[in-house]
Amino acid sequence: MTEEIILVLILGGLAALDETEAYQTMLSQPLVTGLIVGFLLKDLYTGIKIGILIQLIYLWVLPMGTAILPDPATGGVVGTFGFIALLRFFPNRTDSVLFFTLTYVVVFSLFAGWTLIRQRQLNLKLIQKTDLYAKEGKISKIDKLFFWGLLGSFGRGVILTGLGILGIFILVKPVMGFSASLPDHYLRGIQIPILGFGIGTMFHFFGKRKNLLWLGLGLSLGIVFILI
Amino acid sequence: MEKIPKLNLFRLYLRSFFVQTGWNYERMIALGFTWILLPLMEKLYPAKEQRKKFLKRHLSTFNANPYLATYAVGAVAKLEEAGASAEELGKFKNSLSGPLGALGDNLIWMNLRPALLILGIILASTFGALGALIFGLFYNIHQVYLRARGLFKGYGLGLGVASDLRSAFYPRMIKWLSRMGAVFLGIFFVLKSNERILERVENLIIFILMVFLSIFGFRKNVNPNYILLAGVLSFLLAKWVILLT
Repeated sequence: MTEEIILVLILGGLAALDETEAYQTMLSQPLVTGLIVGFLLKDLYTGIKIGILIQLIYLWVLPMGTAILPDPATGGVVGTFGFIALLRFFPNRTDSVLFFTLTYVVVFSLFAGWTLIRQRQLNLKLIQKTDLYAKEGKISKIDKLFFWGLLGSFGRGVILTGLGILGIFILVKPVMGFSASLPDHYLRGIQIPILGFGIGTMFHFFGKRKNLLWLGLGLSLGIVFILI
Repeated sequence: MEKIPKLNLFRLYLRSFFVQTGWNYERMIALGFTWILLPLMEKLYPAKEQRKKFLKRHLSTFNANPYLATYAVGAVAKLEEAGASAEELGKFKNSLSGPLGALGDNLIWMNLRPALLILGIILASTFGALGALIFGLFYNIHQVYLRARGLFKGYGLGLGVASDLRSAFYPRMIKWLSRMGAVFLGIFFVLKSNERILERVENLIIFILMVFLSIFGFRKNVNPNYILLAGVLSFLLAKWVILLT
């Protein structure tokens, strides 16, 4: 487990980097991190399933301009790890574990979004120092500041992922204890409102009047796929 | 002024993947943008004083969509090569910032990414890992191409770079991505409506209500977290009522 946690922490750092400072390959999307965490924890199937659900929650997040948003990158890593790990401890309580994990991801992503704002405020110091070095003509120091920027973002991801995992293990006992008092099937189907929310988000992007014909084509193709 | 060799342009291209490093609320991508241009500075300005001036003019506020910022990189490289003044460069970067942001937001965040994400989710729901891999592959083919196109068009056109941004290429790409997204949405909706969990009437009702609640909520600019919270609470309440009855 220790080895797995270390790899997941590194993934959290890389996801945070991808989301903000570097490369933007979409490695940070929960769909992708779900796959990778599933692979690292040797449960690809569960990783992808939970990755899809977290992705549906965060389809609406658009990193445009100076918008203040939740940060689903580390949230996705923590959520997928938490779900797979907790299922090992509570194999017969999938619905409760799913409900706990998804609620945790939503709250944690808000906190992660707040840390991103703080990091961007700290970045201001980097550029102020760059100004000083530029005035003095110390070019090599600018390279160093740049790498500090990268390291800061990677470090934020690693620390956040670590805190997220720790939080899951602290909260799981009381939460699962409480949910044990509920009937087994009470939380069954919690993915339904999330699915509806995800599809509603997609309509927000593509359900425009000018696309009606194409939407109809998609609906028809969907029916054909089902019949096949 | 010396001409910039292709290898140096390629170095700028590789560095453009780090354009958002050091993003801050005062000068946005200024640090990353300046860092990308350092090889250009080393090539064009051997004297320390010239380098100081170069850094000063590029550390000013600048923002653009990360994938399309290469247009500005290429065009600035061309202008620096031609010996443009600091004032001219400043005005040029200011004029480019808005269009690069608006076009990138519309093209990538509003169309390319959601369309490919829906495709990825459909494929991942059906074929597992393949969905995430195809999403990653298709998305990155686009981003690698867009960054390269921006750099070379920017360098080729210099001050006239806006002509490529106004060309028919981007509106056509946005139109087709939007249509593609609508098709994927239709497929996804049908496939998910057919899932076993929705065979129960109460689940199907909650699902459809949530779709409409989300569409309405987004249209009215309601905080998406509240929409989700309302949906989940309604689900729990419905379940509770069913349990009691």
